[in-house]
Amino acid sequence: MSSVFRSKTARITLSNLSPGPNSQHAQKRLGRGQGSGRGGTSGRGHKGQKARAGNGKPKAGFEGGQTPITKRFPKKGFVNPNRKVYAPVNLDRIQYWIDQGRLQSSPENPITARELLLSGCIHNVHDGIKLLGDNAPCLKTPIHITPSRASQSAIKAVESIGGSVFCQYYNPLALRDCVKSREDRISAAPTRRTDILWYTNWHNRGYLSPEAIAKNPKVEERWKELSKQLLSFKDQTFDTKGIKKM
Amino acid sequence: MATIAPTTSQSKLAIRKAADSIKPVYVTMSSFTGKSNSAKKAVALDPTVFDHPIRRDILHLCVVHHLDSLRQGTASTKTRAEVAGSRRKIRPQKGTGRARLGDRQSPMLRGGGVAFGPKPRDFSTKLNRKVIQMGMRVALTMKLREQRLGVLQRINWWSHKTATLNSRLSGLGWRTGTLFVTGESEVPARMRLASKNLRGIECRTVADLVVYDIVKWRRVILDLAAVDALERALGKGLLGISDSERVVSDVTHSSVEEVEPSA
Repeated sequence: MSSVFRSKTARITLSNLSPGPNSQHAQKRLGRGQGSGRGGTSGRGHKGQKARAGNGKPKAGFEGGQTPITKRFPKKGFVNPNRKVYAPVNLDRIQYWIDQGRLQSSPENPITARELLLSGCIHNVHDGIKLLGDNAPCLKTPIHITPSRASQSAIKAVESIGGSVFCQYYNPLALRDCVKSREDRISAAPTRRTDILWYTNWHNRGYLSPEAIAKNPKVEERWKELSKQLLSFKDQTFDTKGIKKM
Repeated sequence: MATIAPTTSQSKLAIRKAADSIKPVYVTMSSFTGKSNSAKKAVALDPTVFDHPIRRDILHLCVVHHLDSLRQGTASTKTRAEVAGSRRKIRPQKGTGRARLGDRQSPMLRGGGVAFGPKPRDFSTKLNRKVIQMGMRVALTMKLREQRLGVLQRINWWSHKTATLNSRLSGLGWRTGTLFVTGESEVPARMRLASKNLRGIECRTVADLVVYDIVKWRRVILDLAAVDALERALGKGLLGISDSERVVSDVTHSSVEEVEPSA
């Protein structure tokens, strides 16, 4: 028999259970006699619009005729349906994850949205990952990563240690396939002009730039042809034969 | 870790690595065919499951949640729309000196519908899975501390005859208020048959065990498989007690509490 002094000597049975103090609040019951304090007019006072059944106001936000706060200020702007929100991930966070052993990277298996999400580095991929360079000196191990976007300082920091960054275009379907690691579908190429110009630019480490095609160990055959075709505008000239000069 | 900006709990990791050694709690092993003079064995139990801080309010939540789920919720009344009757206006609006009345089903009138009466509804509530799990841990701990928890090697009986089980349980002092919980997928057939007609005895599988049962029944007797299953489901996995470490013969160990289910 233990000799420890017990604070509650009664055994716990079904008859002596009670909720935690102040965890339950008594319901407000209107119109149940004077003793309750909410009998008679049930806390509404006497007559008037507010005492009636249904809502006391003509409509929500109505201020009795005074210009309501929702009407005092002009409408502004528009909501862009093509807006992209990238999930930011900084270099110091990636280094910390690598130290804990929650992330690994190699040129053959670069860090993608899937690895970041499953390891808990990112909680939501949104429209893609953007690699940012906060606390860049923290990064000690060379990492190989394929985000949707990357900042210039992040690119510089990663490459100075010997890692690689290739920014790949992910549309919503491609991103979902990447996260679920589905390989039966082909990821779409960028179609919008701004996207094409961005991802064919080595300054951004775009995956369709000629330098990236040469350096990327995980380059697909399709990208080589795409890169060539999407950049052909640079060498194109117009056929000016037979057109009158103004 | 040399990170400058610890965005996550760096200190929590450090504490977890230098955890204090966790010791199991012990309970004396019971047996149906107990020879009182033989050497007693003890069963090692995971303290995260069987030595949890007591939370009576969590037990209250789990019990209320269980009882709510049992409610049939079949009380029903007819509203003024459902009471049989015509829509005809009973008497003219004006002229008679009496109050104005519409149809005969108004709740004001005798024989009319009920205003805001009960309707069949579902009284079950949601309780967070982890709260229920904590409730299980608290309930098991409580039973152990009150010396009302026992462990058998296996919940099995040699005969299907109720009389045999009845006399043995009376001898053990377990005749009323005992819940046997087995970790097997089904209660063994002979035990089930022998105990079925005994009032105050109940046999259950660990999958069907709820907090309410543990609080309600006077005595809870588990078998080793049930202890395993409970520790797997509820334990934190910090102290993995294997099958060989489960039953301990060395009862002279200082940490062993000689706790037996009292009569």
